[in-house]
Amino acid sequence: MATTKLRSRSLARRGLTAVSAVALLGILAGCSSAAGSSSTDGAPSGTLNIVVSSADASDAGFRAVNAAFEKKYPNVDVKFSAVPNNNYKAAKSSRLTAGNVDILIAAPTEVPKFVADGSASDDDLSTDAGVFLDLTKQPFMKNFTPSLLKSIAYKGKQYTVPTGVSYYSGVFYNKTMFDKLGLSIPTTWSEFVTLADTLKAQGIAPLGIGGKDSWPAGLTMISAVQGLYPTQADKEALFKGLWTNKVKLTDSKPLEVLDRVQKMYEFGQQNFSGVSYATIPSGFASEQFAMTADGTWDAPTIASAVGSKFEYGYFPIPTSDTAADNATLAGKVDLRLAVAANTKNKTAALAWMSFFSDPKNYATYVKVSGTAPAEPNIASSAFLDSIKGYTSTFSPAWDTIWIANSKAGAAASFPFNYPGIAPLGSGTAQQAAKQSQSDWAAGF
Amino acid sequence: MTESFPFPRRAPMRITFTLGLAVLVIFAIVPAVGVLFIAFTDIRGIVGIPVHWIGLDNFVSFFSAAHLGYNLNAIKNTLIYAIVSTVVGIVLALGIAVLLNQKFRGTNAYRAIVFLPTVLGVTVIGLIWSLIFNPSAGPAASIWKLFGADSAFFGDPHMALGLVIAVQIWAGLGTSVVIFLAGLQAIPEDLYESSSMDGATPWQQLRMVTIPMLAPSITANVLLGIVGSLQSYQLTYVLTGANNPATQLLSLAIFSQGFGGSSASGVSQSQGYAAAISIVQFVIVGVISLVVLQYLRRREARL
Amino acid sequence: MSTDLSTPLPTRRSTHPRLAPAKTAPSSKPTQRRRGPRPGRIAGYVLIAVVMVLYLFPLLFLLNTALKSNAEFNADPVGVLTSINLGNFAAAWVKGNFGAYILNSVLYTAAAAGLGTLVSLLLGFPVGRGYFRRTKLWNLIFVLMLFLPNALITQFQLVRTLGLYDNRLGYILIMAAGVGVGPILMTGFVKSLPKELDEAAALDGIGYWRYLFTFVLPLARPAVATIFILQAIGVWNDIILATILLPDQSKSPLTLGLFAFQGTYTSQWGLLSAATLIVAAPLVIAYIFLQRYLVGGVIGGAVKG
Repeated sequence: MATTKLRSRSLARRGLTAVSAVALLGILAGCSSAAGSSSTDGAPSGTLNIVVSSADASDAGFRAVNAAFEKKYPNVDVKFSAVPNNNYKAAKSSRLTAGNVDILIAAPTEVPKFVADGSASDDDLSTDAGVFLDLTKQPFMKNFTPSLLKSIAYKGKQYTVPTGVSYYSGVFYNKTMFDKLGLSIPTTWSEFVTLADTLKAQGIAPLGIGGKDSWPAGLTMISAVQGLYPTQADKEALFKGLWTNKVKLTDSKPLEVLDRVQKMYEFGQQNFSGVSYATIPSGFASEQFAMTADGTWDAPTIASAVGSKFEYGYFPIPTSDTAADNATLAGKVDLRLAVAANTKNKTAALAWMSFFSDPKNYATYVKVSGTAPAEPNIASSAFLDSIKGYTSTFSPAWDTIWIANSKAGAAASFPFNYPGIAPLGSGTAQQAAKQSQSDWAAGF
Repeated sequence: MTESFPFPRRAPMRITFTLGLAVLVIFAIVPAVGVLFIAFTDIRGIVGIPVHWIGLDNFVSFFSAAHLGYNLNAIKNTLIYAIVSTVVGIVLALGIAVLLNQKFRGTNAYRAIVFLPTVLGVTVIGLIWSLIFNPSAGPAASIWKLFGADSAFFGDPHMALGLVIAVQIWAGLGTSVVIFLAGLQAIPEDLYESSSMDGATPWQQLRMVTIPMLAPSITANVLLGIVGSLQSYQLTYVLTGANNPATQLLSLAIFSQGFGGSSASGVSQSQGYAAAISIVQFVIVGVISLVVLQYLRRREARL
Repeated sequence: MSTDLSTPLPTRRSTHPRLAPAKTAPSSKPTQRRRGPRPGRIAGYVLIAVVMVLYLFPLLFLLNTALKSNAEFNADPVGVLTSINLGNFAAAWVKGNFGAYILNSVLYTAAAAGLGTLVSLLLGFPVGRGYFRRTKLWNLIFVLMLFLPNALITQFQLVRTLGLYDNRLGYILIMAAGVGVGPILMTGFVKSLPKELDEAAALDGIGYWRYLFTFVLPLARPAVATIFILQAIGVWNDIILATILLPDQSKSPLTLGLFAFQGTYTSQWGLLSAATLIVAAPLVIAYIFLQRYLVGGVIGGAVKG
């Protein structure tokens, strides 16, 4: 009896150990295994998995394109997933690893040589490792605006399809209110300050900022950099200067960026650090503030919130004293789509990309989603037409050029320390700059 | 010490025990051990990106001069959050449990209502309190205005952590109250009767009879409270976002570093780094829990 | 609530580990509980009222917001609504596709919490009785399991290796393993069941399994219900594991649907509130039915770590 007891116990224990060992090995092995794939030729068929990050407007645009695509190719079943933005990274990495996605969003940015190792993003590393298909030679890439393609090239190749452009160094402004108060669009920083002071004197909050989510306050920083470092070359010089430690964040010009941000915070509405970005459109529509720092991606939401209550427009925040520097809006290429290299349905994926890029279908996407077009000669919304003057040249925004140092402290992420300025943080522009400089220096 | 097993064969017990253990080991313990392993790598979580063994680099980076300030802030916030929410939560829960233990009309309904937030879940609770504390348009702002002040609530770095703790306490009271109520009902009536015959005041009865007899429930609640508050991040995430230094918690840092919150969260590290933070958190939680547990058990045994 | 104390085992009190043997014999009829001289009833009711306001107001406010149209909310976010507008609920139901998600959530919760409770029972009973060697070690393991590090990445790899990715079974198994305080509660509860019952059953020739499921389970109903509910709440509210392990939207649970909904319609508070209430409703209804077990659970107060 005793021996049978012992045997069954140790058997069980051994069995358990074996299973756990296998499981552990499996976990570690799974980290580096790659899924095989086979592509089929001929007419597209089968399932096509598209996974994007969700936003009301772009979701609708994709759904419209998918419906038309399925009509053209009835043998393809398009499985479209719009994952909430906060979960997107987790969903993307898990589905890529499992080989469960064909088309997804990726934003590889070329990392210059002066940037230390370890600061490349997941998308950069993935592209290097061949996780995304090389689309450079694909015929449908010709449909897109060449300057845009140039700005998103990765090591000379194209891996992503630009679905649209957003601009975000400006403000939506209440035109009717401006007209009533006899105000005109400011083109220099001093004009902007005067305008804001006038509004404040009238008891109207000049600038609406969704400070609770933090990044909307960063839009003021983006526009500050856009005015003070107007051309792409200026921004790239700043980028290199910081990384090679020739420029410090406490130097006069970088400090001026934070000064501008601090001033704009003073124009922010009461307690804006606790206001969530989601409430901004309704706040703007109920005229709680005259302007709001936001991006053109929000145009459809603002439109539905404001309705026909008043007229509104958009202009770049003039953060420089030279009017010419303030003439262009900073933008970025939005929602870049890549094809997973381990896709099980390459034919359908490429067919979809081709279908999407076809100007006829792309025009549908632009119309439904309200984004600015990434192809030439596509009709855009009336709102976007109204800002055509500011967007004739594409000027990449600071955050598309900047690469943060993963070894540096948190205050140097952007690297301009806008979260450190009161009321988001607890310091002045000077103190915030000092903090970010010391955090930056600590990364070397 | 093994008790004598009255049943004829031990095999059924061993089999079912092993089966149950197998489920836990395979699906919970092995992955947890796996986390320990990947904390020593720079794994990114995407197949194809090469993985390297980097030894203690992640831990060194965690405690490096550049990150130390941020991480210490997160640890400090985590400890404040855990201690305050557990202590205040238990005191309030005990009070409410004692209150509801008396024979009032409709106590069943009151108990149900207090337990409701636990049932609703953090997403729902987060939304409700975000609505209430909306500085421009919420009821809290209106009440604040009555006092002539206004505040940014969750946006105010001095107030944010306190508010988050308050919401956490509100949400967690239900479970604690229920556990205390069960414990209260197990206290025999005679103890109160004999002590009041000895001339004890209600307050003395609370200290001498109720609390000592509730020791196991207190232990359970403290444990649940510490572990819960040290590991939960979803409530803070919904209320103040992933990158607010005023409410940065270790558990939140793990989530945002490992799975990246918004694109504006600065730099996201490798998942190996997130795993390293997990291990640090595990050590902190483990040490605190074991110390507290030892203390409470000794108090229990003293009875 | 004192009537919940009616138990089938009148001898339970005498084996209560907290009671010294010298105490008076337990009363057979549970009496009304009172701590000393009665406090002012009014004061008691006032305090209760305060607590109720603190708990009901937020929920009522949510309901208030959900019943407002978007326009009314923009005009007056705080005030009490003037006209009931059910449009938000209909729109939320349609846009959120909550019908399909509810079924998924119910399946996952019932299966995972059920399995987890079973595991807690199978582990807690022998350890609570001391039928294994090294009882202290097992108790320590149960406690350590409470604060295992967040293992999302490795759990994902494990599920993938086992071929259970994008598979309801894989998700259920991972969620079932999150037993939390289950084994601990069970060991505590088991101590209040008299050992004599085991011995009596064994003498009658009842095997271990039969004993466990036909005798212990019904007796342990309060504890089992508590364990089930605590784990069910965790499974019901999970978002991140569902995102990682169940990419197919048709398999998504309800909370994922709500989270996605909030991500897409971030600024439509009325719609969001309505969707939130739709998610909360089944939980509340289930809770109302099950809550009478909750206080009865963990009876004996013997919740040892």
